[in-house]
Amino acid sequence: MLIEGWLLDILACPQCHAPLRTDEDASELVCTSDTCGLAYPVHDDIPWLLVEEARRPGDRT
Amino acid sequence: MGDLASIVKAYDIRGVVPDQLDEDVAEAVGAAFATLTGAAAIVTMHDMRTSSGPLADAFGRGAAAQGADVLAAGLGSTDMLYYGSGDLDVPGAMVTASHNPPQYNGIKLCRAGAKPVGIETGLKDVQALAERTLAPAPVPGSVTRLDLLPGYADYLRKLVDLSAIRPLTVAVDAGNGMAGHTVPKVFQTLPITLIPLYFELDGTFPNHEANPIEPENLRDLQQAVVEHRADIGLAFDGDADRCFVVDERGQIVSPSVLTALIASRELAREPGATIIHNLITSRAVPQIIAERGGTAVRTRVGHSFIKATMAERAAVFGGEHSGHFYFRDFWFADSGMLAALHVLAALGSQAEPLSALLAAYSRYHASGEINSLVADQAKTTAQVRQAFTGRPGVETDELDGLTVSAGTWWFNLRPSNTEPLLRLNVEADTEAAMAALRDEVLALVRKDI
Repeated sequence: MLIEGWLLDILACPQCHAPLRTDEDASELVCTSDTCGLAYPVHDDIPWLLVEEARRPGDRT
Repeated sequence: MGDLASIVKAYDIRGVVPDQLDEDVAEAVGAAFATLTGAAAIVTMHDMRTSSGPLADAFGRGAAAQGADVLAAGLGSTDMLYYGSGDLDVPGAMVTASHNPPQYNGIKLCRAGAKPVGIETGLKDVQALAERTLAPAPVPGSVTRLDLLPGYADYLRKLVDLSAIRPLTVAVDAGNGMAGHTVPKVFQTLPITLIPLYFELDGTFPNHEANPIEPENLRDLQQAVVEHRADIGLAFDGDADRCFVVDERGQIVSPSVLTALIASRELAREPGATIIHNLITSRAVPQIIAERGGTAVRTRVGHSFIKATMAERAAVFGGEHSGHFYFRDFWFADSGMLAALHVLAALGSQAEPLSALLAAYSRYHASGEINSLVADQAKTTAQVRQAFTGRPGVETDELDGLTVSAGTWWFNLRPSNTEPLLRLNVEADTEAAMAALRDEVLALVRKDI
C-alpha cells in the first residue's frame, strides 16, 4: 500500500489541486485531472508530492 | 535535553540553537504535540535557517513515533503553514524564529484549521508532555513529502481580484527570508515587473535583519523604489508573515493606513462587516470603518486576542500596528502576502500613485512605539494616570496598559511582558501636538531614570 486511504482523501495534486489516485504497479500517486495528470513518485515508502519530482503523463523515466 | 521552560514563550517555542533548542528537544516537542492533539496527521514546514530543516525532520520523527502521519511540506512561510493546516484541516508546526538573529530558532504550532496554540491554549501542555518520556505508538505514522506553494499561491489569488490591474513595478525586499521563495510564485501570473532585493534564502541574514518594523531595515527598499521608479515597495519579515509597504516616493506607509485601506476593500465586498483593530492602530481606522458602514472592534495587542475576537465576532478582517493582517477567509490567520495582494489590487485598479491613493486613510500623526526602561511598570503607569486624570475631556481605559484619550489625541502606555519596559504610542491631529504630548508623557515615564 502506497498511502492510507484517508490520507489520500485529504491530499491533492500540488499543481492543480485535483484528487490523487494510487498506481500500485508504478509505485506512483497520480493526479486525476485530465489536463494535469502529473504522477508523483514514492521513494522508500515516502510519497514525494513535489511538482519538480513529478512525471508528466506519457513520459516514462 | 535543553530546558524547555526557558524557551516556551507566550505564542511559540523560541531559543538559541543548539544550547536551548536542538533536535532532541524538537523531537520531544513533536511527540508531545502529536499526543496532545491526537491528530492522525500533522503538517510541518520550516524556514531557511540552517538549523530549520533538521529541526523540522526531528519534530516529524517525534510526531510519527506517536502514530501521527507527517506531511513534511519543506520550505515555506508561516502563512503557508497556516494555509496547509487550514486547507488539509490538520494541526501544523512551523520551524522558524521569525525575524530573530541567526543563532535562534523556534517552533510555532497550530491546531487543525490554523487555530492558534499559545501558552494558555496548549503550549504549557506541550511542555509538560515533552518533559516526559512518551511510549511510542504500536504503529508509527508515515511520512509524505508535500509542496504547498502552488496551492497556496492559487488560494491567495482567488481571494483578491487582480484580473484587471494595470502593469506595476514592484520592489520587494525579502530580507533573505521566505518571501524570496513565495513571492516569485504568487506574483508569477500577475502583470508585475519585480525588482527583487535579497531573495537568496540565507538564514545568516547577510544584508540586514529581516524585521521591517525597524526603519533601518527598510532603507534599501526605500532607495530601490526611488531608483527603479517603482510603483510600490514591499518588505517581509524572515518567515514572511508580516508585510510592510513603501510608497512610490520611498516613504514608509503606516500599517494603520494599510489596515484602513484593506478594511475599506472588505467593507465594499461585504457591507456592514465587522473589522478588528488593536488599540495601537490609528484612530482613523475605527472612524473609516464606521464611515463606510462597518463595525469596528478594538482589542488588546497580540495575535491570540485578535484571532479569538475575530472568530467570536465573525469578523472579516483584522489589523495590527505591527504589520500583522488577519483574514476570515484565511482561517482567521495572518498573512502578509494576502495583505500585499490587497494593496496591489487597490493600487492597480486605479491610475493614481500609491501616496495619493492612501492620503484618504492617513489622518493623524503617530509617534511610533517608544520603549522606556523603568524600575516599576505599575508605579510609573499609575503616576502617568494621575497626571492626566481630571483634565477636561480626558478619558482613560485599561484594555491593555493605560490609554488616555481626548478629542484630537490619545496615547497608550503598556508594559512589556518579558522585559522591564513601558511601550508608549502617541497620536494627535498635528505633528506639533503629537510631539508635545509625547514629550510630556516621556518626561513623566523617565523622570526617575
